[in-house]
Amino acid sequence: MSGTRAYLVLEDGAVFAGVRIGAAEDAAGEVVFTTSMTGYQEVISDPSYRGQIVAMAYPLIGNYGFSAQAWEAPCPHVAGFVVREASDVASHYLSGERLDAFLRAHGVSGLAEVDTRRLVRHLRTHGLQRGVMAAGAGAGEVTRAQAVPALHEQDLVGQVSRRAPTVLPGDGPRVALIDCGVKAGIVDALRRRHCEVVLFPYTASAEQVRAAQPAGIVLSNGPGDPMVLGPTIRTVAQLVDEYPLMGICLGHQLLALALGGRTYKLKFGHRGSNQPVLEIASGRVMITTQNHGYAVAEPPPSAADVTHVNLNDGTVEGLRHRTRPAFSVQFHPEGRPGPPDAEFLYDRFVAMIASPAQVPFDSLALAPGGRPSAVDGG
Amino acid sequence: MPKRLDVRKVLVIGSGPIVIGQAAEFDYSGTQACRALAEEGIEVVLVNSNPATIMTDVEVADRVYVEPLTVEYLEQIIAQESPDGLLGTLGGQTGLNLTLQLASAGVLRRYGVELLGTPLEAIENAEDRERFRDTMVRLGEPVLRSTTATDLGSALAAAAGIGYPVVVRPAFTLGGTGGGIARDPDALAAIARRGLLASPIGQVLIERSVMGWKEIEYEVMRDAVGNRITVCNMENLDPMGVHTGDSIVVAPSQTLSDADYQRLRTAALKIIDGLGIAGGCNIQFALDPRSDEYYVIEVNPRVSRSSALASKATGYPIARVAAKIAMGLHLDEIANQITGVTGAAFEPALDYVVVKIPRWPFDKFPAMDRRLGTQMKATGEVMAIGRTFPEALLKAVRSLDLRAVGLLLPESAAWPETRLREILVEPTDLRLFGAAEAIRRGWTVGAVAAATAIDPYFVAQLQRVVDGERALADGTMSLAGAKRLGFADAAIAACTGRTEAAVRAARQAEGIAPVYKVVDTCAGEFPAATPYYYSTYEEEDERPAAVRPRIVALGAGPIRIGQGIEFDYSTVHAVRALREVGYEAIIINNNPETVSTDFDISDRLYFEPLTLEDVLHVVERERPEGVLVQFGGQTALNLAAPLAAAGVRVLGTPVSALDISEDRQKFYDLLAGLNIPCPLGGATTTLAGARSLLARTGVPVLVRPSYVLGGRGMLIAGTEAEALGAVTSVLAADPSHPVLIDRYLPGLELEVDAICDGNDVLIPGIMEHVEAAGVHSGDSIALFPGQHVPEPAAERVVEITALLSRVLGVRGFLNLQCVYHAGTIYVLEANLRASRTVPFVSKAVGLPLVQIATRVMLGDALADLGFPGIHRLAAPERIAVKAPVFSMDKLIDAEAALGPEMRSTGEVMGLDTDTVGALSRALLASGIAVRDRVIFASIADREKARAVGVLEEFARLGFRILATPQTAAALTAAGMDVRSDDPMRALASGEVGLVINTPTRGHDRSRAGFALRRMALEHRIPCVTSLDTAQAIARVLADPREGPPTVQPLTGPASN
Repeated sequence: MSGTRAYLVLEDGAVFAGVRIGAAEDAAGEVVFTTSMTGYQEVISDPSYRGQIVAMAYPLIGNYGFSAQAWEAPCPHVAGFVVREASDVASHYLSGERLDAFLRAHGVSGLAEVDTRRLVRHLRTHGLQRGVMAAGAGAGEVTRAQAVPALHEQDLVGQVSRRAPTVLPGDGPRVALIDCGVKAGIVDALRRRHCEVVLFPYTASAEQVRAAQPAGIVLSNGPGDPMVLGPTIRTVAQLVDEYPLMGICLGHQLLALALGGRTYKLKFGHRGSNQPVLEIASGRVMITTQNHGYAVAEPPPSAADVTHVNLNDGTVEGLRHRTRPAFSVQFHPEGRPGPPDAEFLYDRFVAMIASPAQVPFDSLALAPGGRPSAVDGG
Repeated sequence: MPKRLDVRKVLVIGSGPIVIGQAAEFDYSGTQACRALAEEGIEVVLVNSNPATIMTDVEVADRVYVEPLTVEYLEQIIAQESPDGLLGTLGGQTGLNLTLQLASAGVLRRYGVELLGTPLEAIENAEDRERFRDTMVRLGEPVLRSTTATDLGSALAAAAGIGYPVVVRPAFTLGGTGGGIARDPDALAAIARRGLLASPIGQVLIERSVMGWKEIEYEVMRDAVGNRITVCNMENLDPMGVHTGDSIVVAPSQTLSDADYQRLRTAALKIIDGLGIAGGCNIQFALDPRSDEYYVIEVNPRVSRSSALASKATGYPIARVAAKIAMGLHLDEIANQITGVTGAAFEPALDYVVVKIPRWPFDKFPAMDRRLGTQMKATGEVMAIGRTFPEALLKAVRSLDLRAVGLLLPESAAWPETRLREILVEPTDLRLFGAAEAIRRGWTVGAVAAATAIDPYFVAQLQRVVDGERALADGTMSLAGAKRLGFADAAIAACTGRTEAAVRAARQAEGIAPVYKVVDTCAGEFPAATPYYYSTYEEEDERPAAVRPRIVALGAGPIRIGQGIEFDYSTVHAVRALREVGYEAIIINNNPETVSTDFDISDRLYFEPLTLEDVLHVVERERPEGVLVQFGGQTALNLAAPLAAAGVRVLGTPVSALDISEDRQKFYDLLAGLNIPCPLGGATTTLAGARSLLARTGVPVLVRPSYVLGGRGMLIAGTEAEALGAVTSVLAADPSHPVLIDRYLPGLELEVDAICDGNDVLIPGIMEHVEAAGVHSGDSIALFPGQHVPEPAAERVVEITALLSRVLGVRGFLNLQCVYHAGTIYVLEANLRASRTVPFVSKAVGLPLVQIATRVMLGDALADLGFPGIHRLAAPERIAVKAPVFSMDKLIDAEAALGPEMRSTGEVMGLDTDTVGALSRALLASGIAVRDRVIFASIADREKARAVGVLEEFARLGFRILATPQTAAALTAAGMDVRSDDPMRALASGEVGLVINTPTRGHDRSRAGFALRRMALEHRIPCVTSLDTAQAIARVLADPREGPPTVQPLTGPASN
């Protein structure tokens, strides 16, 4: 190993040695891992990772460089970036920028040469923890790790939302997008379907949204604990009775909370491009991209039904309002990184805007055990 | 949907003998599928002609038929068994083609057998070039501009329209047989002619060449309701132009952005949906490295070599899941056995990198064209897992069992610059080492990438290794740094001028040892239930708690000529015995195609190179009771002495005895002391020594190197000059070991695979070779038990076997080869390990010989296992015949004549109650079918007299005899009715049904005989090069059987 030695120190005292890459500063945050094998630039720039030090489980990172097309936000959002190997070469026709240089240029601190599999296994076993990336690995660093504010103690959405509304023109229906740290992929998915997208700060009131006269509302993804977003939840509670609505990731949790449901923190979250999700009504499985540490608790709010479940751990992956044209999913239908298998959900949303009376899902066919009965997919 | 309840009994078709393009991977997938079906309560009927497979074990299926894979035999099995369904997508291209034939012949309809899994229409849409292209166009997926041609004229016209270079792909062939890339009409004419012949439907595809583009593969699964997932993708380090079976392959892709990855993945899902596949398929893409343009190149609607690799690379059992899907289960209803908590409806996430390197037979055929193209030439492959690319690559190179040290090939430093450039530009097996050599000479990454079209990412990784060599040499790299980069102790030693032992000692003094990580399908997200390990140099070792005493079985590494699937069979059986006795069985192996590296065969699987260092690391970690070295062929056996020297307990026969049998001089001295006759001979390391030996032995002699595999470099020399020439070339190739010269004795060659416990000896029977001694035992047709051995001779063989076993202190296997010549038994050699014929003999006698041998090695007495004394088994009910199968149609410029060097890649077994019946089945299964009653003969002078007798047998059967002028003159003089003809014209006429060509001794490629043998292969006319083989064919033709063949399943172990 060459380069400056540095360490990732967790609040429970676990130490992971590596060498510095990127910015030369220390970093602090909640330490999480993603199992996505490609899409590191999308990960680094995903606002949902705000406040988190992200470790890539896949060991070889930076191989194909960084490109203008792979940004999910105008700048990186991860608090720190941990890899096994930072590639010395970037080989792709769209880019020649190396990981180390990219992180340095954007002021992101990184750590390479880390036994990331050990880190993943540690987090999987002991749950997510706060940590610091520092030059030392003593008691001082452990204390600093323990002092990192928890996600629920921070206004992370406030750091990644916007100050004022923005209108992105389109010749289709107008969609109000509550920006809690929206990924570019969501905006692109809507605009590819010709929607005019009006992006609102997460602090926007129901009146402000109504004033834009949207045909439908999208609640975006975003970082942190949804329960700290009281005003936004109340706004959603008002709007869901008035407009067709789709929630994604944090937006899914906000819909659940707005309908009186509960959310809770998962032990180590779902982060990766390979999460299998069952659509209950059709019995079909989709491979989805996910990035979340919190989940909607069962039972769901009484006004909603569970439409999707995670096949790995049975957690709630989708909700549908029983009487209103509103639905939400915990995963990212647009992928980026990851498979776009569920992109058709945006089509459903656009169709729902066009005819709000049509319920976007087939009637739920729950077998006695809560598992879907045999329904042939089409 | 729950699994189908209307299907109770399923017929599974295996892939037959091992040939290039279709190797052990189908034993792996077939075995896995049979077990998956059994789990669902399905009665499984299995048919395969290859005895050296686990799938043909009576434990794997409810009924196992070892019969020729032809429609006629399959129909009989179907009639006898009345299966409800047929699974034809697990037996490679052979199984798929047979399935199509059974369907088109109406057999499936006639017997009410349903084709399970992927529907016929989907198979045809993927396999037939024209329909495939139409399907892709319908799906909006880009395919290369191409035209199908059924004759030479239309092929040339098509190419003129598309523009050169063009790729020629024959329809329905294995491993791209008969295909190639043509840069001009002359080349096209040659390739297309071959391709049209190679295609069973006489069709080739002429298409635009995308040489130099990235070649990317996706392994995709889909269930009957349309759930689909990709198991993984793979990137070929060698860009388009080299068959993927001949490419270095990396999983997952390294140079694809997420957008690239998802674009191709989405296309793959669309294709598997559009074709309506229910099961697994492999989709190959060409991706432009300079844009996002891509083409769909090929779809394999079945499990394949790539799917075996993907299964081992990810831990996702594709064949198992495909079998469950065929039974109606949905992906989300199938459990993921690796984690035990998740399901099959997910996509594996890797947290390591996998490198596969093909193993080519060029060391066996030194004169062969090493260039790689669309026709696969590799016989096998190795896989290695690492946390970085250099680590995985260097492990893979170590696993190849070549003479490279790291990326340094000893001879590469001597390559002139022009030769080096040629190696970089024209793909061969040397290119990887050539690229490293170029970097060593100061070429930049960009220059190497430009010359090879290999992505700069990969070239940069080679640069890291070469930089490491340099830094080690000048003392700027630490031992720890070198180990982390992936250097073996031996490579560090070579770079630093120390011995491997010194490096090892220094490393141990610094406390540097690898840790082991688990392949778990999920990148650590869930706990893994299966212990499937690879080594790396990091912090955490995922050591499981030791439960029971452990024993390590060494595997055989990649499939090569002379060391094939037979040794994987033996490894698997050894492990089975270990587990039965209560040990934890540990396998070390690096072959992704095999059953032994399936994750649930052993208690712990280490996917590692089979070098002393790598094995010692595992031994140091596991602290086993001992190591089994007798089952992994010569690769494992060669480790016995160094392991013992390192203090490891080698189970079974003492290492000192192994040394005696491997060192011919010591062995012959031993025989002399026991008054056992052997051919006169000796060993020497000089030409002068050879001269004095020859004075003693006379000619003809057998010349061969010591410490060899499958007779590499062996030659029968008829004159002293020829003998001295051979000695010179053997010494040049390997000056460190002596060359052996032995008097060559013509006669009946006999072989025994015995088991000894130090005192008692179990002799399953004596095997007799059809071809005279001098043809490598692996290439000869063999009868078990021998039918022409006088009883006193047989008794003498038994006596010698027992005597040698006891004197050598054999605990385990003894393979004895001898010649019955002029009333005397001469011993040729003894191998103190499980031989190539052990699976064949085990199937012939219905006893798991390897398991018995393993019990003996663990300390059990044969008497306690039911075999007291010198125990010669009674002849089984059916006679077994083993016939070799060659891949000569893939190795287009290799010598096809039989000789002392082994050339076959696989074998088949024929069973019947009489010799001719068993021979007939074996020959049919091996692909020898005499279609027309015309023989073309070209006979070496020394055999002309004997040939008369053999050819007269054919004449009596109504054969017309054509011959070369010289042969015709000799035969006519002997009173035969023979027409002299030009061989090329005769073969091209299409009337010749059999070529008999006994070669003049010597390996002269410029001779007419060489051209004749190649010509026969190109015209798909059986060509035999031994009069003994010809006589066997005559016997079979003289005794045709009436009516449909009888078929009978194998029986299990008889009660003793």
